[in-house]
Amino acid sequence: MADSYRQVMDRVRLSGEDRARILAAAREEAARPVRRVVFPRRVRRYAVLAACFAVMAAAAVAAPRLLAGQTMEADLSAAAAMEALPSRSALEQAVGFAVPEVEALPFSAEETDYVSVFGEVAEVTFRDESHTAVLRKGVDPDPSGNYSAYPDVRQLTVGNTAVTCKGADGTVALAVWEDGGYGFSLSFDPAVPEEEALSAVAAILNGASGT
Amino acid sequence: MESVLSGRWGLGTALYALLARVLPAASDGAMEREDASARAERLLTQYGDAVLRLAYSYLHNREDAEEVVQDTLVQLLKTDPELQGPDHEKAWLLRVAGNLAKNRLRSDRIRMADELNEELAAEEREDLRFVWEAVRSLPTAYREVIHLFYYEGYPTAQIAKILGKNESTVRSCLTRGRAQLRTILKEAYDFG
Repeated sequence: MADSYRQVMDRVRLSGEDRARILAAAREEAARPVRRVVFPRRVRRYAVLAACFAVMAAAAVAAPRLLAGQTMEADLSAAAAMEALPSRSALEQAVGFAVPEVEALPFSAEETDYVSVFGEVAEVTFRDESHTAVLRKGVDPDPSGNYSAYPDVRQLTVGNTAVTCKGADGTVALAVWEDGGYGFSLSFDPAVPEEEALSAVAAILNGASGT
Repeated sequence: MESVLSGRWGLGTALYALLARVLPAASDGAMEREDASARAERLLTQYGDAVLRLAYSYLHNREDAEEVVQDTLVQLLKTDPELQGPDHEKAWLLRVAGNLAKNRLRSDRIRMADELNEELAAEEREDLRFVWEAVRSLPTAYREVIHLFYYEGYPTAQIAKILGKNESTVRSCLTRGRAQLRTILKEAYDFG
């Protein structure tokens, strides 16, 4: 069976012509200058300060890793800027804010992954054999990173909190809300009925550890 | 006048010294860009097929998979990362390609044609088509692990690094993926 899979995948390959075309397109794309946006002078002044602060923060994060000789790990994580962590508390330590527990998912999670994205967004993935739910929390009002256009976008309310639900045919694939100065997103694959999504959101909002 | 001339000469000398510093640096910069470009070509030759296959295992479409290969090279050229040795180079490329392919899956920008399936059907290779359909039907989390383990031959610890997951999660995905394949294929084949 593994041999059969290898036989199938062996058919997927690039010809010399494909490589030449892809390389030429990649070189052209990489050489394309980044479009510059001109900001007013006052904004530029603050931008310079922010850039200095960002460089200092990046150096503070990168220096201990480089000193510890973790160059390969650092390069690999730079590729995605995602760091897998063993527990919720380790994730909270990495991102610097509390990460809520999710106790009312529409399915019973058998596995949970904790990932810090750029050290700025906490991502918790819950999974069973056929369902996945991803909770994200960050300072951005919408930390989902999901820019898909969904046919149904509904503004709903859970308690006093406005929740944007996106999906199709009464189901919710993505819910986004703000609470306590943070943005939250909860995505479902496959999408779940609206009431199930909202009860998961309500449970997160009611959890004191979440904010 | 003399002082003015010496002042001009002083300015001219300073400009010359500045240009002398800047010009070699500019040509060094051109050399570095050429190196990065040459590295992209070498890595495409060495690992282009591996990157294409991983992308295809996510997207099931040749055109989408080729775009992921191209975008991976763009990332390589733009970020010019320091990569230590062939293993690190390949792992970096696969990680970037995997993330780009998953982004594409999330954005619903994928095409529907599955050329591999069509090719196997045209050749009446139902045995291979059966296996491809079974792997294709797995959840993404299982499929990526199955591909890296069985096709690329990576151990679970390395797969965990490439995918940014815990090793225990990778082992669990591998076990579940195998079990699901056995069920789909009704134990006609052993994926062990």
